[in-house]
Amino acid sequence: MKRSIVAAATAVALLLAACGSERDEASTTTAAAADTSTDVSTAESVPPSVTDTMPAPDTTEGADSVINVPDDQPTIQAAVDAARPGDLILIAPGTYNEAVNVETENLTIRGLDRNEVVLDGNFELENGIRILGAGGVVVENMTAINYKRNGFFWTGVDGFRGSYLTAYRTGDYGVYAFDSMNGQLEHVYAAGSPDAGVYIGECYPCNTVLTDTVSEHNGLGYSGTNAGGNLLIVNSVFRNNRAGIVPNSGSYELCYPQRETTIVGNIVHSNNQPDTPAIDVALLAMGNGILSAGGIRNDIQRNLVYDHNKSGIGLVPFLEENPNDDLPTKDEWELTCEESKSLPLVTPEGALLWDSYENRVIGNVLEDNRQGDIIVGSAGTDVSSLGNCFAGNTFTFTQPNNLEVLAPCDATGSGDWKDGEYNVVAWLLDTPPPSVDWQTANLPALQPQENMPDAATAPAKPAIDVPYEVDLDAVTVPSKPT
Amino acid sequence: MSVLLACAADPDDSRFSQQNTTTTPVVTVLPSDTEYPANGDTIEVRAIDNNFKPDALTVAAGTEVVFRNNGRNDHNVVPPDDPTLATWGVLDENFKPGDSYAHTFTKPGTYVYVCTIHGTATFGMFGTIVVTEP
Repeated sequence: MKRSIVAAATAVALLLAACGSERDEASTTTAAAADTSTDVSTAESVPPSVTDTMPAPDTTEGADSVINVPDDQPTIQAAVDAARPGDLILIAPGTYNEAVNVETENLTIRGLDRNEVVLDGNFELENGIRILGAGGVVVENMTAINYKRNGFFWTGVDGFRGSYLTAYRTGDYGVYAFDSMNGQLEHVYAAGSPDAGVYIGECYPCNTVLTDTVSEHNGLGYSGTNAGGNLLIVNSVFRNNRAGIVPNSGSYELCYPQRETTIVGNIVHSNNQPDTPAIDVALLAMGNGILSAGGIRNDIQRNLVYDHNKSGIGLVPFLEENPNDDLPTKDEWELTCEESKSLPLVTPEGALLWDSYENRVIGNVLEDNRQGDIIVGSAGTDVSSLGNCFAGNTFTFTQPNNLEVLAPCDATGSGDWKDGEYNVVAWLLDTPPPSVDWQTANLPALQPQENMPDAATAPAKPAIDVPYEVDLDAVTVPSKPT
Repeated sequence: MSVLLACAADPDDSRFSQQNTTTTPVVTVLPSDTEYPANGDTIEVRAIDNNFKPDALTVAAGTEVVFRNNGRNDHNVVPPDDPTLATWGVLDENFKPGDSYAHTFTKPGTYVYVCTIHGTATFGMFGTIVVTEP
């Protein structure tokens, strides 16, 4: 990796001041367990799905045997330890104070009732369920609350599925897929994480679909550092976070840059929430709907994006202090994650500026995004050279002005990029409301969420056939919820 | 991993740890009795999200290794055969992003360490340091 950038002194100094890496300290205060009672409403449903989720059970796969918890094994961990690949673990309603590690492939771990099978970390345990290197593991139909790290965490797997999962009040991420590929996350509800409600990181190609999800009151609704390549974020709702959907690049994890995420058919609104837990980048990104921070070749189409203090859709740089490597060359953008991991690190001097290149912003409906329905900015790079394009969007204003004339997607642009030039560096001077302790943050009461069909009788279906196909052409801009 | 397997020659040898309780046995070569003074050399291991870089290191006895959390997440550095950190290592409350931890390896041996948040001794975020005779 050949090139480093010593950022302009002023901008970097501001960045360093704004991007201190301290996280909010966990206090000893305990919050009441989630209210899992009564109201069936999720307040706002996901857009009508055209995703082929949950195909009819295939009885030829998996289901070597069924292990019931607690009838056959007293704990989820005991059931996992006793299971063989292909087994189905069925968990009866109850509260389980466990941090489950899974290292057996192709297990299906299922709650019999999403709202009544509750893994509770009591603010002491790390992860609800952590899958380490075991491909094909499915976790479905359950809730994880009060974990110090993550509700559900896959790492280093080929093949994963999380369906009908609720993650609530967790210290890092709600649902977390790291260094994992060939996955499906669907029917997820995630709230109350200082980082992202749903995070997919360090994969290329990811070959993963996130769909039919609601993510709210997190630092970031979705974050996807260095993740992309057939990665679809579709038919979901991201609302009332500090920022909504935030793919970004950075050398603080491998497989940079972030590239080729398809973001289609989502409702993204009101991501200005001032009272969430939030890591530093969530504070910096606050007030934006869909924000590519150093993202490359993302496809952002047919989303409904409204009510943001800054941008509806923003293509901005990520300034990284203390980077671990220098910027990848354009040739290196083509390397798979595994290929790029073998490259030696070259520590640059100074900060890195990860600009957003070659993104396509098409057919979105944007309204009431107060600093610009669509914005493009940098911290020294000529934004006209970045190769982003814009077409067919419904909007009031962009910054720079007239982006669809300056950079149409299938025609030659014209005009003055200086007209309405956007000063993204000013974000570094913002003083957003500080993070709130994740253990005590004022979250919406946890409402009962949709159960998976036939939880008691559906056979195991290991994640060997994911992601499920999505008919992107059939996805239209969602209607505004009433 | 080849280093670890190569070191598993004699399980009765008292130099080999018998304390590991992970499901996949890991043999950590305990340091020899010979101790060498600090030699003034320092080498850095970065904890990024969620990898140690480099994750395999060979140094001469007396070398100081500085572990630096250059990620955005908390990490820790824990020898799997010494989870209470009686000999060395750092827990996540003292190893947040931007934090560093240094230890001088004075005795030859093979030292395995793991970030227990993001790995185990055999998978994910773990590393080895082979400390040689000077």
